[in-house]
Amino acid sequence: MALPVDMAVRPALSRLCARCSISVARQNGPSNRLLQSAQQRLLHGRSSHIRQTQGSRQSILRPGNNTSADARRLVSGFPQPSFTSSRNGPEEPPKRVLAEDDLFHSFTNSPIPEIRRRAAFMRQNAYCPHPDHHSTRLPESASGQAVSATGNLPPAHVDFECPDCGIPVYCSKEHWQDDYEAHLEICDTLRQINEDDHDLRSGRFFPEFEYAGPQMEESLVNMTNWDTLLYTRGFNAINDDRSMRQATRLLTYPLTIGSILHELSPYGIQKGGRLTLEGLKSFSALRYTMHPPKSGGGSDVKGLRLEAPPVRLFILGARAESSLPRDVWVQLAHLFPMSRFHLIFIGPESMANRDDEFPLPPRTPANPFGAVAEDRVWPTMKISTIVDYYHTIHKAGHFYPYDPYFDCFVMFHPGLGHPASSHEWEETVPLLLETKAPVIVTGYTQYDMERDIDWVNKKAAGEFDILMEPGENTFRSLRWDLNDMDPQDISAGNWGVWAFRGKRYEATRKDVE
Amino acid sequence: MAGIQRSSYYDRSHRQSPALIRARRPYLVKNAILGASISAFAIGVYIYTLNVVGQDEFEDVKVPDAPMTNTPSAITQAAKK
Repeated sequence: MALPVDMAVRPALSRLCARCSISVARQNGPSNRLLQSAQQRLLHGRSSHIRQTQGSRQSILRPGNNTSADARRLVSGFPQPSFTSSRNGPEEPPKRVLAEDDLFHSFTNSPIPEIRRRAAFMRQNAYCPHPDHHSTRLPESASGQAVSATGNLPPAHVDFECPDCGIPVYCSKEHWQDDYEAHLEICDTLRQINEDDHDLRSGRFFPEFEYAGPQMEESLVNMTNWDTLLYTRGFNAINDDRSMRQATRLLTYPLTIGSILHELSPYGIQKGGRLTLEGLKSFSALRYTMHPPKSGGGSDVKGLRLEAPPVRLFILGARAESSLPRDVWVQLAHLFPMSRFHLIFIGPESMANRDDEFPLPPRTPANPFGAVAEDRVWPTMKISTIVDYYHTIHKAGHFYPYDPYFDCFVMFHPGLGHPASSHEWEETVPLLLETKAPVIVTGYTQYDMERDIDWVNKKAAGEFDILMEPGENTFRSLRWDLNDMDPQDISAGNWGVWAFRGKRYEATRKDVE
Repeated sequence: MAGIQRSSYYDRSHRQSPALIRARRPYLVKNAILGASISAFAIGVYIYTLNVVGQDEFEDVKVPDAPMTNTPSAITQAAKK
């Protein structure tokens, strides 16, 4: 999947949140659902699923479905499925491996083999953060320690597991005791991550992964926070905090985009609303397409009306997002019942965790970039995946012309300013500014986002408009994820979001010689 | 066990689930204030009306001096008509 070169060059890969490939892409259609027995639904909750049959792809059991297959785990190869028998017998009940109150286990002694492997990985790759060692980490915040830090000892891999959180965080007990105050800040969150990871693999039934269906236009969605959104969208009640965390971790991807583009978005131009005037202009153009005025159309021939072309959402630098279950992406289509969508995942790693879809289609004149097209995801949604850099496709003019009424770019944690990944965006971002379409960018922390903005400022020489001020995303993932390369680095998916767009000049000055 | 589609936001004893209470939180205080003010207004109207109407002594209604003599035969004759 990822080239070894990429692994060496991109520690930013390590910033990817662990993605559990809970591909509960069940068979679509209400009739299928009714036919499925309750047992089968139990099975589909977490352990297995059957991909929708479409085109040449046959009905298969995804191998990665039981495990958190985050992109950086390419090193460890395919996670092992533990429910191979369900390929033949969907009626078998799932095996409950861990009880509800038995979710906290030390990573090294975990009953789940995959977590033990992760602990071993951490022991080989993660460094002890005690200040006595030479500094190995980049400063995470503006006030982070200087790179030439105080340590004398060479960096040591982590070995000692904190007994309270169960994750190997320091190289020895002495260092742990010494640095206890710093560790206390994240110990609770690490414990929560520990329990959530075990919960995901405990084999229980996950009612929180049963998403709501389509919504009628008149029933408005309230986007004040997660709870009001889930209630007004008609999701089943998610009472437990842990379930809420598991559910929002996936739903954050479509709903972050949806919450910004929707006309009832929680962001506005009022003070504290974070949307700027330019942002209102850009997003109003998109909203004009996505919430079209009533045209008197109907389903008969007399009701034929001219419809806008589908809104194209280019998701650049897609990694694990492209492998999210299609049920999750279809939530975006449900938010906009009157609009059609074309989601285009573009990036060198856009086929991460989608090994069953290989080999890629050949590059023919009709399909010059070998895009994997899924056009039956929902009647109003089509998903394409292209494994290539965006600048290549842009220069080829494949998606030209870009129209600010129909096109939007989205980048999930691109790490524009992060030293390890910024070189990959060098060529792409100036081209994005040329398109004059809005670009929505998410980030892990406020510092991360501000660093990205500074980087874009440098590359664009200031010729960009901020459409949305950086700040916390109302629909961020509530679940924290662990970075296996550095256990101190915990992140929540899509924690913050901002947006920009290239400036539009009607006329520019030409220097008079 | 009412309804074909039981709402998951209410539990078996018809109490609001935690999810519903969380969803209502941004509006609880505002709703409570609004509800209190509307009911205060309604009650106020009742109190005012009852007070004002209670002050009326009905001087304009003429009460006759001598009570009417009602013999039973006069009453039954009047009833037959």
